[in-house]
Amino acid sequence: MASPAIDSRSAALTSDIGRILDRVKTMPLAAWFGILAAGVVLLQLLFAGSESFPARWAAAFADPFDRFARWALENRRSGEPHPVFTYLFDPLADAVGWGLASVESTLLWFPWFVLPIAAFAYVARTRRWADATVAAAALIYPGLVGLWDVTVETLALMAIAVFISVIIGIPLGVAAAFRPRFDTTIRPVMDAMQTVPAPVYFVPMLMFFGIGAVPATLATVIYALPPLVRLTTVGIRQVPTASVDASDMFGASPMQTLRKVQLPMAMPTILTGVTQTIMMALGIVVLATLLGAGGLGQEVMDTLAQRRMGRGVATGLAIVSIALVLDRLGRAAAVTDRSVLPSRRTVWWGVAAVAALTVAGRAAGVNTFPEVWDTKVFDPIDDGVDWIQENFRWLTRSINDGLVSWMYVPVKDLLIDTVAWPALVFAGSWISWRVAGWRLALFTAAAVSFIGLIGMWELSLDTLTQVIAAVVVSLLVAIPLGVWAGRSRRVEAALSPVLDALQTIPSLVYIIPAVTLFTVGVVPGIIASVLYAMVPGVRITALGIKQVPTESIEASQTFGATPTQTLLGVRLPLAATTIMAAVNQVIMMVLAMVIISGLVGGGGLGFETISAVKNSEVGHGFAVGLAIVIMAIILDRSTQAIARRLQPPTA
Amino acid sequence: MMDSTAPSNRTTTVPALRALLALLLAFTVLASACGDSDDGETSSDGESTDEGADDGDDAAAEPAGDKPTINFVVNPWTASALNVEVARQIIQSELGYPTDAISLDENEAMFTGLSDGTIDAVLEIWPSGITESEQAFFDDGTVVNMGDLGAVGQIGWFVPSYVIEDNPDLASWEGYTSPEAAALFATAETGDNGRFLGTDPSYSTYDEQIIENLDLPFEVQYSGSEPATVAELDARVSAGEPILMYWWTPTAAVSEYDLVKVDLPAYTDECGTSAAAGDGGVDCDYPADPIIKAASPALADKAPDVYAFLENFTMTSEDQLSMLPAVEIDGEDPEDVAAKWVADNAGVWSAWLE
Repeated sequence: MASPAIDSRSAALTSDIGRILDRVKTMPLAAWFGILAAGVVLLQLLFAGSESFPARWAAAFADPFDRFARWALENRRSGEPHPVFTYLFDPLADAVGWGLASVESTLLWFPWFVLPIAAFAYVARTRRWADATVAAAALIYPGLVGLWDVTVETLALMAIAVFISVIIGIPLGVAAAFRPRFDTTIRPVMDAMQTVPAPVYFVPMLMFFGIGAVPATLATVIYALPPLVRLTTVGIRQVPTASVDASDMFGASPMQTLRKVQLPMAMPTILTGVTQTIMMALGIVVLATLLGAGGLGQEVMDTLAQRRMGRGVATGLAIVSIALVLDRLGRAAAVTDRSVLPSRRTVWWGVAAVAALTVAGRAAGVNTFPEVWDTKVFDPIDDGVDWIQENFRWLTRSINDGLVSWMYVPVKDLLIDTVAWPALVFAGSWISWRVAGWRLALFTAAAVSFIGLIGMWELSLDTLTQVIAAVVVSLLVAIPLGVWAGRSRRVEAALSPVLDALQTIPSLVYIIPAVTLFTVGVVPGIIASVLYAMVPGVRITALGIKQVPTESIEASQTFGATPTQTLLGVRLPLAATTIMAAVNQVIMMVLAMVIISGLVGGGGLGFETISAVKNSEVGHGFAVGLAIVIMAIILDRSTQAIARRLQPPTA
Repeated sequence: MMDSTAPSNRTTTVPALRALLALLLAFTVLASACGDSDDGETSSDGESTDEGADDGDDAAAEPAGDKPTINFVVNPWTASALNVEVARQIIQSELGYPTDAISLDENEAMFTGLSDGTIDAVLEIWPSGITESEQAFFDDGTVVNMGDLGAVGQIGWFVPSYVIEDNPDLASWEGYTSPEAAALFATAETGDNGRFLGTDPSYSTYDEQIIENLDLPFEVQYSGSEPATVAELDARVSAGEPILMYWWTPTAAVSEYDLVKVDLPAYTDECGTSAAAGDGGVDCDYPADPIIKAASPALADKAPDVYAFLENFTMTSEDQLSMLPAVEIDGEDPEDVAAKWVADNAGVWSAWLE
């Protein structure tokens, strides 16, 4: 209960400090660099010999988590479980497990031809025949190559994860739309949830639910929830006040207004959120194998262990087909235009026809998919990989060794072995200060020191080096491609399917052939990160270039500027904010791929995460996860701040 | 990325969606009802060896009939999958239990699963990898040692035979002390040190300690997963380049890639004590591993005949090697390969049922 006077005085003080501290941001660049260099040199001389951070808290940090994990293990299911497990976690796990099993058995119970027909009919009712055909074909494909059973396991995981996300996400979104204070409370949490790379959630899941499809489902929910909550809030807020007022006037209760007016009108936006959630969930389905989720992810791992790249691709395409089915169904569900949709009567006839087909199929005993092909049709890919390996390995190996010797090793040695840790902490904070202000600077100083204290210093610097390398390469590829796509519709059309494929095909499918071409180590991970992260880079850059007003371009052309001058002098500067947003996305995507690199010899935090999950080392897992989160937050906030500063003042 | 389509101004409902949901719900109920009766039939017939694996999966989804599902662990290596498939197919066809296989790493979570009965049996545990806290499960009887599997494993350091042909010194660890040896195995990342290729982090390894304690100019680079290890091995062998790696027998790769085990200082008991205690003092070879089976104590009550069967269950190294290449090299499914073994060896396994 502070008095208002004290409150205002402390507020004034804070703002004074803020103003003084923020002066750094307006310091001339030369002076700023001078202080940076001087500080680093000074600290380097003062702390010569202390390159590695003293990991004082490493054990102290991990121990409580390990003890808690041991307690959880002992109190879970065995003997007399703790009430937390008996009444909360175990029933939750059982319910999710039951849900998974029933969805799985239901999908397998249907005669194989019913689901494609039903999907076709459901999409076709919006008269989008191409979409309907795609949805049906995507449901037939996994069966054709004999992967239907495994695909169903993954579909069940997806379905339950999305179902739980909807149950939690929509009410949260609605609540946030009506209670601004609740909105401001959960917004940073949602922000953080989207910044954290998914595998970080695996460790706590492991602790409470052990290993299997259930913890994998719940980890997927946490990862995929934020877009749904956000878009629900946006959707509800977009409902015109006139409609709400009208409903009030007719004496509807707030609950009735919500159910009859606001939710239905927000439905298209909410369904967009559901689609986003589905895509996020698909993104981690393969990684969920680390938790023993089985399904297509496990299948990908198994086939790659047998070096059957073709079968790996076949399995990857099954994941793509799940994405296609869910996306087309979602789009069809979002169509609410009555003039397009068939009458209620027709719909019921359609449902009846599908039911009749089902009964007929069951009666005739046509249940399992006729295995027309096998994944063997993809075997030529194996030969292709072998051929590339034989003929181009000299080239890929030189690229590998060049990247490692000229980029990775020097930067890593500089950061880990040469520069003393206080100099690094100073440099990090000083840079954050310049780009984002004193709050981020303080956070950087504290958080980076914390990383060192919990014993993650060298691992984090190793990973940081790889992230820098991957981001640099991604941007070198993505920005020129994005500029090109932004200026030519044809290029954009040609790139679009490639980008879609890169984002949906699990990177494990192409990362193992990358190992044979390059070698076990950091490079395959960097390649995979580049392929995955350049997608938003290209897309957002193209968007930024397209948004440049034509008047500005025409103006520069009338002054006789060459196309190159227009590009460098007008287009790029005007698109700078958007391009910085692309940089931000690229960095976040690269961070999300850190764990994949760990699966092919990348070491660093990615490998430690895998090791912690596989060996149930909970405390260690938490430390690694925190290091990744801290790195993600600093990089995210600073690049966002740069993007804001590049924004033209009028905006 | 928030492309929010502007909501249409008409109040709308989604009748088809609701109808579809209703239909799905109806079928879920129907499916679970019918699923039960289907299952009853198959388990009372109790045959069909070929489709054994598929039956097992169905049964796992809807456990029914009077016999409970037997849950096996499959660890992430092929021999483990083959043992389990052979056992599952015989148990399903001869003893009439539904079975399931769960993919897990060989770690403490697996022992916890055995101790609380969520898992019934593991057919391949390598003694050299058992940690002190895992040994505690055997000691206090919360996990039962079901005796030797029959196969004897050997983890070790392996090189392709051409490495030793070119440099006979490299047959034994002393050959690896020189900078020349290190240079032979060095990569861009390891610099002056030679690279020792480690593997999946869930496998028990002492390579860092061995290198440190024998003072070898090498460093361990973990591939992080078995697919990556095999990809690297294949690439190096097909280019005729040297590679030094963690590997083990019995595996198909040893003959496929003509791998030779490097002689490390002979295994001693002190070295084994050091390994179990985790004090970092390991300076000898991995011991020979007479592989054991383990089960949940609850299995004896749950399914006494399965328990007795698993005590008798045997897979020798020769048995495993007769199946491994078909899976690891030719890429056949473990189910099919195991089914063939079961069909060819009725004389062998019928004895386990007595």
